[in-house]
Amino acid sequence: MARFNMCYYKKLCFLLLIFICQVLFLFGQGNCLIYAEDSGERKACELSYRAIEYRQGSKESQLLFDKAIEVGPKYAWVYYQKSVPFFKRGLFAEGVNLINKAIELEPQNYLYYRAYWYFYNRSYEFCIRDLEALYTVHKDFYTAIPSGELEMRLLLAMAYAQSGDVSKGINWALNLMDTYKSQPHLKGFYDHFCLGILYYQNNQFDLAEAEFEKQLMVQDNFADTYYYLGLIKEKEAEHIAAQGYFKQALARMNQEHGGYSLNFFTEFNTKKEDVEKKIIN
Amino acid sequence: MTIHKMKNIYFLQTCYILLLLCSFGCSSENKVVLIAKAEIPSRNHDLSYTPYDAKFDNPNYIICDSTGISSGRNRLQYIGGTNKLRKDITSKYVYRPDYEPFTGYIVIRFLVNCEGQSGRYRVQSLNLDFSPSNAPSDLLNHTTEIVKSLDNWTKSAVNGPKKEYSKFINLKITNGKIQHVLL
Repeated sequence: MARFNMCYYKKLCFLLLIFICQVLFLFGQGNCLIYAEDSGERKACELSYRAIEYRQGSKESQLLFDKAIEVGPKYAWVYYQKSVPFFKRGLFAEGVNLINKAIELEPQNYLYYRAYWYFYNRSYEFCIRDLEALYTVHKDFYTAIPSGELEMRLLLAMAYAQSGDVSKGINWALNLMDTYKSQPHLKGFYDHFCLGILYYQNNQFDLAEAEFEKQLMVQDNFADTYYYLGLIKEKEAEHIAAQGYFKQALARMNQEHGGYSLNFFTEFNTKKEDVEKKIIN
Repeated sequence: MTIHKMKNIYFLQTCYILLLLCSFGCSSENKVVLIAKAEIPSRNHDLSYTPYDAKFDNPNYIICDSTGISSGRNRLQYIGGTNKLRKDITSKYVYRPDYEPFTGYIVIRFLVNCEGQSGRYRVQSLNLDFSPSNAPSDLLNHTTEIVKSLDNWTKSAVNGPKKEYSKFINLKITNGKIQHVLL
């Protein structure tokens, strides 16, 4: 009987696997066959995939995107793809016109991208508007920034903190942490760090310290964590410990032993000159 | 295998096919959104290139290869680093009360050609949602002149001295004052 059950469950897993593969194949980028033959979307999709074979921002790719928009104006991905090189070159007005079109068609898929550009250009109010819509209205489960390091709720949390509502920011970061209870493999490299800086900003130093300690368990070469730990120890008048952390932060900023810093956190970024100022020789 | 279990497997297979059909059905949902063609920006050249415009540009400023211009953020660097660049811009900025009503972005773009000279400067003012805005023209001229006065650019050694670059500097202005120099 046990052997029969095993066989039964194997079949079940196999069927599920086939279903998942099939759906990924049908809906993943690169498959234009989901659109009806001779439809505008099918033609636009095929032209868009031809366009991305050329260098991003090249004349050839742009002309193919234009053609795709002409034949399939309801195909959202083409507006998104065409907008990317505009944003990257500081052509924000044109870039936002394009991504607005993609958002009109598929808000659930493209709101994050506009929010990303608003966040990194310190337009926090518009970033919040887009991400609130993404998570509250469209119930997005998990979307990361284009380079993948941070989930968008961390940007939403930091945007709230920068706008003066740190508690709301903390709630969004905790909302993300809740996701990991059922999906622990989704946890990002810098989630504890982000929550730590929000607690720090909110003067909840014990909670901040606990998050930074957790961050060290995830990644101990990241300089910024040591800097914030140093700031906490400094507030607690533990000057020797604080100096130790600042020195560790600086060593990692100088890329010693594989150390590094990141500038994903806008106003919460750690500047090397600030770390240097903290060190008493 | 019992008949009961066989039925279960057939049931699962049927569910799978139904789910697949449902997925097809969902994908073909029609969305009616009208797209105004005029709003789609179109360029008949590489996006990193800025074509010559007799209104703004020196006719002797030459771009060697308009199709090979690099535009990555770190390709063209400033001697002294980004902090020095920020300080150089903010220290040269002179606030005037008539700039006060403006809050938004001033984006200044330019090229560095194969001879190492900068040119083809363009400036645009935007609202915080990136829609076009009308900043005071003196403010646009002042910020553009500041960026033109910066001459500490250094090209990435990897691509060689003849490589050409496009660069933009985004100034976030709040009530007429520079709040952020975004690079």
